[in-house]
Amino acid sequence: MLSNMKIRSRLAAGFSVLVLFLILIGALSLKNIAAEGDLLSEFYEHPFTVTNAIHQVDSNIVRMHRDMKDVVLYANDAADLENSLTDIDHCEQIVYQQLAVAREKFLGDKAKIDQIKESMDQWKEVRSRTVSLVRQGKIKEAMAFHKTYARRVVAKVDAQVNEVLKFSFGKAESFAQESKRNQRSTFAITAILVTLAGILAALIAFAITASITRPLSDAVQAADRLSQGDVSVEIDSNSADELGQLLRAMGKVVQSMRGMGETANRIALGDLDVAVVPLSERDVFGKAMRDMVASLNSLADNADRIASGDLTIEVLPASPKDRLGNSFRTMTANLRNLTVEIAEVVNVLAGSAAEIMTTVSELASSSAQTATSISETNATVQEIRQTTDLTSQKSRQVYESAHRSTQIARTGRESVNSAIGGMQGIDERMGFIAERIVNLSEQSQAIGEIIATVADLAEQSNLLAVNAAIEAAKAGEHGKGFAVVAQEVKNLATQSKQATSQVRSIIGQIQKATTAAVLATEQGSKAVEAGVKQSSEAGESIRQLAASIEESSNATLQIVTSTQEQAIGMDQIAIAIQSINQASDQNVEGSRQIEAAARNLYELNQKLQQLVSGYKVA
Amino acid sequence: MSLKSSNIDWTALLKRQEAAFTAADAPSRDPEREKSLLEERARQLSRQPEADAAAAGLECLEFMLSGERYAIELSYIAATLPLTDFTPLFCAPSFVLGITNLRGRIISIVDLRRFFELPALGLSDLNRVIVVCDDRMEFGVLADSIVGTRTVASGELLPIPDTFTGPREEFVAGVTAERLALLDMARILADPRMVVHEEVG
Repeated sequence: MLSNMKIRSRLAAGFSVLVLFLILIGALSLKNIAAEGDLLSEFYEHPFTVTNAIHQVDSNIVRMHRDMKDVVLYANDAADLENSLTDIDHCEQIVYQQLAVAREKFLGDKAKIDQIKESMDQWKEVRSRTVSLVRQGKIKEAMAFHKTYARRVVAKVDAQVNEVLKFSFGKAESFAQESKRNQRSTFAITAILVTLAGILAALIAFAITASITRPLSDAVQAADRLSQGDVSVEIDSNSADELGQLLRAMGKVVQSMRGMGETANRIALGDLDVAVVPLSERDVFGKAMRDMVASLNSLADNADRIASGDLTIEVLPASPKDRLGNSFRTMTANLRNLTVEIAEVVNVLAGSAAEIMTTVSELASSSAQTATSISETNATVQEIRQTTDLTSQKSRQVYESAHRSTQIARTGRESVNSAIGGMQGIDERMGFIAERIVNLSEQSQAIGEIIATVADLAEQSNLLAVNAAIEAAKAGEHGKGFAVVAQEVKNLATQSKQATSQVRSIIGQIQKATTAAVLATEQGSKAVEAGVKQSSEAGESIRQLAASIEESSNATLQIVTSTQEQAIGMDQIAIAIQSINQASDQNVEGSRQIEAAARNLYELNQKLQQLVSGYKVA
Repeated sequence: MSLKSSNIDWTALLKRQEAAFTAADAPSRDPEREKSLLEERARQLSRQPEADAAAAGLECLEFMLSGERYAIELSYIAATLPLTDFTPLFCAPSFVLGITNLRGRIISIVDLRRFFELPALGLSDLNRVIVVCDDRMEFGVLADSIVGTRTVASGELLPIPDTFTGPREEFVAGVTAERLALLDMARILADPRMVVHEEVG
């Protein structure tokens, strides 16, 4: 029943029940509290008021009685008597008043109150008699009267009052007991109701929770299995509430996924005839599946065309990441290239096969030519043999001449060595010459000094001549002849001086010449040094020349032996040519076989060409 | 190298050396040279009479002084001598170079350039002294070099040109056409400035 209700209704019903209980408990409690209040007021109205009034009645009666005693006892004093009498009247009023109150409220027999009243009326008469006696001054009689009647009446009243009191107390007791009983019953009922309400609330809560959580846990389990890809889960619900709707929707999801899974399985098995219809416009999975089938179908169509030999197709990948599409495109392109290359190769092969055939026929004819050439070669080998002998003789002559050259080179080296020695001698001579020239220069220096002395002497002679001329002039006519001599001496002195200056200039020239000579000898010495170096280089060259000549002579010796070996080799060649002759015969036979094989190759190539032409490339 | 050495004509060289040696051995025995010398001398001797034609001339000694030629009459000259060493004199006029010893006699030496107040030209080659004297005075005159004695004709003397200015104007007797200045030695010797009498406190 619960499962057919909406969750909201369910929760509302549960809460309504609980609220109902709450109202019930509240009403019961209020009712009990009202009853208790009534009881309490009644208790106050009746027993308490009555008891209180009767108590006052009793106390006033006692007071009246005492006053009456005072009246009797102190009758002499008029004032006192009057005070007591007013007091008694006052008390009597209170007694009647209270008695009226008690009679109104008293629950018991109201006749008892009336009896008290009657007794009081009796007592009043008694009292009035007594008082009249007192007033007459008959105190003793008053006293006796009072003693006789008053006492009795008061006792009677007292007894009646006590009776009423007793009844009132009993009534109060009964009231208290009723209240206690009432409280106890109220407590019990309330406790029972609360307990009942608690139990009911728990039951309702459990029922509602259970009705919600059970289908939810089913849904969670199903969702768990779905999340692990298990589409075999069965989800169904008969309930009309929201959870039921959720479970039914999940069931549909599972069914749709199951259908997708079967379709995917069929696609995986290669069945591309499946028709995938998307469940709605927003069915991403269904549309993707449909597109996938479509793209696989187009790829399959392309593959069929390639299989039938049409390589002209151009596969367009669905996206840059379309691996299959890209692979397909690359594959078709590669196949196309491969086919084209194969076609080219086959063409080349055809040409080659034809060439091989022609070549083989040429080979056959050339083999025959080879046979004739070989006989000619044999004759040539004989001629070469004779030439080899001639070469041997010539090389021997060359060897001997090289030997002689070596000896000549040795002589040349000795000559160069002696030339170097001569050069060194020249160098020494050059030093000697330079030294001599320097000596000459020094000696010409000494001559210069001597010449200076001679010049000085000439100068002095000149002066002396002048003095002689002066002396001659002083001598006058006798000194004329002497003057001539003096003039002659002076001329001589002048000539001497000129001669000395000439000698001096000649010495200067000599010294320049000697300096030039020393420099020339130094250059000569350097030239000699260079000559020595060049001579030693020439010696080295001659030595190397001798060595190379020696090597050539050795080589010539080897040539001599080689030519002898060559002669032997020629003989062997003649024998070998015989073998070659036989081999060429065999070659002719072999070339014939090769021709047949080439023909086979040509036919094979024809077939290959046909195969390749079956593929459409462009 | 062998070609180069063959270029030297050793025989010619040796011949030249030989000739040089022989020439050194007898240089004065050259008859041609002797002959030419004699001829020269004969020419000079033959020219002597021409000089005698102008016998009226003065016998002079020609000398060089600062590139100019001067002459002094032989009658005033005692001797010529080389200037070996001299002693400078203090407190003497600037033209007195100093004193020197001539065979035991003390004579003073006069620099005529300073005396003539010519521009100072340095010491030049003043290494000759001409000793001049008359009756009263004797001193040496400095000269660069002495050319020799010659005769100057009195008619040959020309008047003093304008270039001869200053003090020397009055001491030059005359100038020949060859720019030889004949000094008036008598006046120079008589000049009171030549007598130096100075006391230094």
